[in-house]
Amino acid sequence: MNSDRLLLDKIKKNLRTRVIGREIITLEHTTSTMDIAKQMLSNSAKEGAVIFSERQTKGRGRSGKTWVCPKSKGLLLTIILKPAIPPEKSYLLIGFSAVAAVKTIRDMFKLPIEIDWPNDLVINKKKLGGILIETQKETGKDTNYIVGIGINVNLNKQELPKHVDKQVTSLAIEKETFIDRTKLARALLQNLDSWYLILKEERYEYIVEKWREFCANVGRKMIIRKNNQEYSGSLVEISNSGELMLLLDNGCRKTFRIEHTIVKYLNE
Amino acid sequence: MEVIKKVKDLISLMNENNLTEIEVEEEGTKIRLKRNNLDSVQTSIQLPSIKASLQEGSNKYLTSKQDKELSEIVAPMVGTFYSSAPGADPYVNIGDTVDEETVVCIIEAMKIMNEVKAETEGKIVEVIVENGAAVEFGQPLFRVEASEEGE
Repeated sequence: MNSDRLLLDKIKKNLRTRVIGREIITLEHTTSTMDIAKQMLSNSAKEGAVIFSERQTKGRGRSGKTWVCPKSKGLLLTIILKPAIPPEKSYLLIGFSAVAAVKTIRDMFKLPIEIDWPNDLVINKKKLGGILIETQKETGKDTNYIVGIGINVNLNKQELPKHVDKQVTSLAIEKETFIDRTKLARALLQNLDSWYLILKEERYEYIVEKWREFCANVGRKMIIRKNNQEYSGSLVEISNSGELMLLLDNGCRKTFRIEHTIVKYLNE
Repeated sequence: MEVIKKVKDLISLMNENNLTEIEVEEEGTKIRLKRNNLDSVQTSIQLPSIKASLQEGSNKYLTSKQDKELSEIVAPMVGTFYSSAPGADPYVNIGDTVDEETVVCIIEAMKIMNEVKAETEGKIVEVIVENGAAVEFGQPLFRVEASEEGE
């Protein structure tokens, strides 16, 4: 159905971004928009290039998982960024993109979307989408960041992927209506661009503040893994540098960095 | 000095492979290292000698390829090691030839998947770390045998 397709002209029309969307490509299908981004980088692609695809045959999730979505039902995109950001701040790339995605969906649909720390998008604890970032380093140059975003848009209940660990949903299910993906794409690029400029201006604490505000996990009981050891406790707060402060079951407080994996949530 | 570097290399080989004794002869120089406990290593170096041998904890590739230069690709950051992209074949396998720009694995750190390049040239002879394992900064991930001229 034609009406389901992303319309490049309409995405570009009235798009007032400064970096993100300088170049936009829409593809019928590909292995993964991440692969296309890497190919474009090897041909010296500029910062801000965006690749959309209607379908991916090898969509990637985090931690070696795949991301499956029926054709033209999701919003699948990759953005090429080259921020001169210190490596220890690179987690803010997840922060700015997660915040921009939440802002977009909250503003457009008034849905209670939140961030499942640090990079999943959830509505009432059901997964709506996620963010995956890959880096590529060219010798002697700044690191290239390839930001992948996947959002379940017009999937019906039968089309939702089966996740073992998490319930899944789509915008159409939550909103009970068909969603204009082109409009969503344009609004997302607009928000991503605004928040990327905040990142470039080094207003890091503002990004963390919003990221934390949108986070669904505070107060939840979880098991977290650090150095091959598992800890159980409830999340008290997230620090300015993105660390998780847990109140462990034994009454002690312990801090976990962003790379320590949340294994699962308890008693929900 | 060549000999000192060789001794250092041998000590790290001993540590990594948990050897207690190692003896190597190369171009007339014989080096013998023996470790009585974890803290001290006895070193003896002779100029003329006969044959290289491994006394304990024999490692097939040490005995057969001791004359070739080996290097390691180490983890550039703390994180989780992945040998391939999701659903794809490993970036490199044993026997593959790599150069400086070859992507050899991914390390997930701070929820970002970082490509790691070989930054050396040669043939992969060992994948040291298991897929999905946590790795520390500087931890060896692969052993690479320098390609020989004319090979």
